[in-house]
Amino acid sequence: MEGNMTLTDIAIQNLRRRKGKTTFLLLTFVLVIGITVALNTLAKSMHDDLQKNLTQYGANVVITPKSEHFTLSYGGLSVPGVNFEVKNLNYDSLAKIKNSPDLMISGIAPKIIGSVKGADKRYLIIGVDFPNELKMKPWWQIKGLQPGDQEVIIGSSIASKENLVIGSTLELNHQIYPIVGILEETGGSEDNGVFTNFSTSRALTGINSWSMIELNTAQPNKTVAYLSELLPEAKVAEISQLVQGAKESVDRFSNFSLITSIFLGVIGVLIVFVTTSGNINDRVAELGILRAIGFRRRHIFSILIRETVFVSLSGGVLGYLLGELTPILLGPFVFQKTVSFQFNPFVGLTVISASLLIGIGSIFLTRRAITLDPLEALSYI
Amino acid sequence: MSLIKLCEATKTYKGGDGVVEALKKVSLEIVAGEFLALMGPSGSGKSTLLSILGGLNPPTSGKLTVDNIDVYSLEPERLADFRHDYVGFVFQQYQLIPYLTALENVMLPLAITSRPGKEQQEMAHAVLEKVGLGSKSQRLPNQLSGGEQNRVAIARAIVNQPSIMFADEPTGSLDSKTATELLELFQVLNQDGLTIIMVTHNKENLAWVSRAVYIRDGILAPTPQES
Amino acid sequence: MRLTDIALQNLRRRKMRSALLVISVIIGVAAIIFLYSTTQAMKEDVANKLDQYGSNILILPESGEALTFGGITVEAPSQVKELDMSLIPLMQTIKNKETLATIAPKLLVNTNINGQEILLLGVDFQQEFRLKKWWKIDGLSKNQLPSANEVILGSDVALSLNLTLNQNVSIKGQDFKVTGIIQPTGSAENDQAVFIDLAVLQTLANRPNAISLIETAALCYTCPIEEVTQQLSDKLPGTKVTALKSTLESRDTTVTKFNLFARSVSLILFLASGLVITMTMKSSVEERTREIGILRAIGFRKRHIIQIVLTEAGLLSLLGGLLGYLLGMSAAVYFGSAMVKAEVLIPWQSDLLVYALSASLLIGLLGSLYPAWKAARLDPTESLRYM
Repeated sequence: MEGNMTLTDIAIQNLRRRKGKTTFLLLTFVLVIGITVALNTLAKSMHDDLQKNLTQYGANVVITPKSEHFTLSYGGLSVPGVNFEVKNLNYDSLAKIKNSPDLMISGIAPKIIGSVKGADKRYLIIGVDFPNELKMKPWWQIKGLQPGDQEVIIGSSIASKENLVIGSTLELNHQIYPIVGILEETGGSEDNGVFTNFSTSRALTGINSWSMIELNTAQPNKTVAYLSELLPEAKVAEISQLVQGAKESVDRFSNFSLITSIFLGVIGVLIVFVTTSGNINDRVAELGILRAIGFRRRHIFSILIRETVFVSLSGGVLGYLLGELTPILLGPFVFQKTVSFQFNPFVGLTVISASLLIGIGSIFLTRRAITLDPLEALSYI
Repeated sequence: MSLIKLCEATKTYKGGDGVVEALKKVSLEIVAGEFLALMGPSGSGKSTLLSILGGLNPPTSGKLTVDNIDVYSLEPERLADFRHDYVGFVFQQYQLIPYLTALENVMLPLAITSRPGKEQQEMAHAVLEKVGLGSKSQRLPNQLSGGEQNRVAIARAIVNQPSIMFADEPTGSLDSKTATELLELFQVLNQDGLTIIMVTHNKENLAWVSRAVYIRDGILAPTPQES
Repeated sequence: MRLTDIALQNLRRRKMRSALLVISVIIGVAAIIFLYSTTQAMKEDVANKLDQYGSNILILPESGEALTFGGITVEAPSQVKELDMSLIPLMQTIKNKETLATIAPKLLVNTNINGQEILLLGVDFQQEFRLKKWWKIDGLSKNQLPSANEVILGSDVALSLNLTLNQNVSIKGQDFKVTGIIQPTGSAENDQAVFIDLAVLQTLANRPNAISLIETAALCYTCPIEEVTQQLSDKLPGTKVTALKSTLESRDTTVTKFNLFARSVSLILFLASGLVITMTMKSSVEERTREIGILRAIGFRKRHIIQIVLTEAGLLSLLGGLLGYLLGMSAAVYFGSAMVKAEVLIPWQSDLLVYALSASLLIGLLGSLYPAWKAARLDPTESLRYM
């Protein structure tokens, strides 16, 4: 190479001519930075995913009619021998909710709930819109079909107690209804219900309105406040078990991913330290020659700094790109989900400067190699 | 007046079996333009003496003056500057930087000067020509023979136009023909005004030098002592 | 002098280099062991905490359920069978009894307060609070339990009856102090009930030992919920034991995410450590090209060279694997739980030692085999020139 000879040239020639060592160092930086970034991207995408899953899970806001009377039931049991007064919501409540602006409601499940006389006992009739209901309650598993007009689905408890299967019939209000499906056991009060579509349940119970409306929204607080005003005759409440539970789970996940990432980061820094200082230690003899020729410590320092800056900077940039691209490429195969590319200048800058700092830090760790007496250094061969 | 003046230098090392005295109150004066041979059997302390004279190895006691500079009173970084400005060193195993070409190795001492690149190149090329390696300037050390590596080391030692060149067994691993060529080169450099101090144990080399100093068990003698 | 001696001498004399190699193996192995056992503990801890968030198993009388859905009751049965307190010690006799984290028995009794029919829930307050972690109770400080003559009100009850904290309320002829009011929870069952000490209510209602239902939180990290439910069913006569699918699904979603993340971390770490060890082994062999040239020059066969290199790599990897296991495992056992704030103990897992040793040995040998073969193949004069 023709050109003048400066400390920079010495550094460059070392990196250029010792390709194996340079590649090794560079790869260490690329891997450590890349893994950190990839993990960060992965954690963020999984965090968002979990949050989305959990918030869309179940009804987190429930709208029921206001009643002067208290419920006397708990956990599907009720104190015996009490008469219940059944109230309903206004029929236009549903339309009002649907027309509300910006509540980020992802599911609306109105219900008609009543009781109907069967052959020898009374049955709980629940009129629902199945597509909406199933979206909100993934734990509802139906064996068979969803009910059409004049058809019913029964809860698992009824099925087992009365030996009913798909294809059997159920007598309700002196009429025969075919059973087209069975809702598998959920452990909740659904197990004792008879499910129909709206028109059938209206015909059966005579209720022309809604008994309750379950909502799923990303903003339960805001929704409750807004709907309470919109529907003064109804009681709008946030289900705190679900909302708090989701929040707690998501927080735990963030905590978990943060701790593992920090830990991996520490290991990464250690690996970089070990390789970089190992690399400098290997060169003690060579640095001794330079000292013997009359290079000052400062000169040797600046050669090492130049090399490290080059390696850690390019390692940082490549690692950042690798870390951003890996989840995008691997996401669909490994996690069955696509991760979109987000150029994040903050993360990029942080990791690249961290990479630089670690590189330079490791030079200071190997000060011994630089400050070594030249004669001693020469005998290192 | 002497260029180099070493006064009662003693060097002790802590060895495995206690303290070893490598040099015992050695005094030596060398005038500018001399071609001096330091002779002695192995273990006699000649390499220690050479490294002390070259500013690489502070003596345990005693004083070294070069060009009226009290060398070992300099703080370490000024000592590095001293080596850079006054001294050229040819090490026993040549000590070339493996990843730099012959030319780049020679340019090393110039890299920490403020000379422009073109001048650096010209100077390095000139000394490589002088040592007879003008055509192999782009080779890496492992592409050169031992004798050639030796010449690159010499070129590196003199490129900064030092006053003194130290060489530690420069002919030690060379065949007699190559060794002769090397000593001829030393003679040319010496005639150009370079003071050369060479450690050797080969008596045949004495034909080329202007003075020889014998060392044995850390003590100087003007003539070889028979054992 | 055997080949093994040459390998040993090299390791002994080049302490710095050998130490560096061992250290890189140690870091790799220790990191994986530590992270693996810590994330395992963390996962279990999270699963346990989720399982204890609300109940996941409900124990009801065999028959007599009300027609109720989402807090709306349309029909109540004319009579309900009772359970009794003897079921609780019976629950502790199942095979996986250690999974039962919370057992919250309840007695349902209705009463009339100021002309309103109200549900009285007799509960074991300690168990109840453990179960309903989302309750925010005004008037009660953390870990404070109401005493026998105190009650806690659901928000709707307090509002409707105009009751505030520290007021007295007469229930079935006895005065109780309102010691806490639960902030609205959205569930009518909690918002519209009065919570009272179980034993007190049993006496008050003259139904000693009676309970209506038992809510249970079972830890299903190690034992599937179906199993626990079945075991309970077998032991408890006259009851209907059901698992609550709704809480289980959301728990599974979360735990699956944790699993996935922990697995990706372990995989990443494994690949990274593997690469680092491979590269370190490779560079250490490459540095010895000259020495290998000398051995070749004095008549060593390629096989001999490879044998020496592999002996060294094997010894270093085994040593590194062992030390790495000890370091990683003891760090996990002594600091792991505290570091991640998990309430799960991390045991010494000796099976991990086998994995650690075999993985590090395999990686170490593979990492040095190729460069050793390459160096052994070199022309001796050529490798002697190397520096």
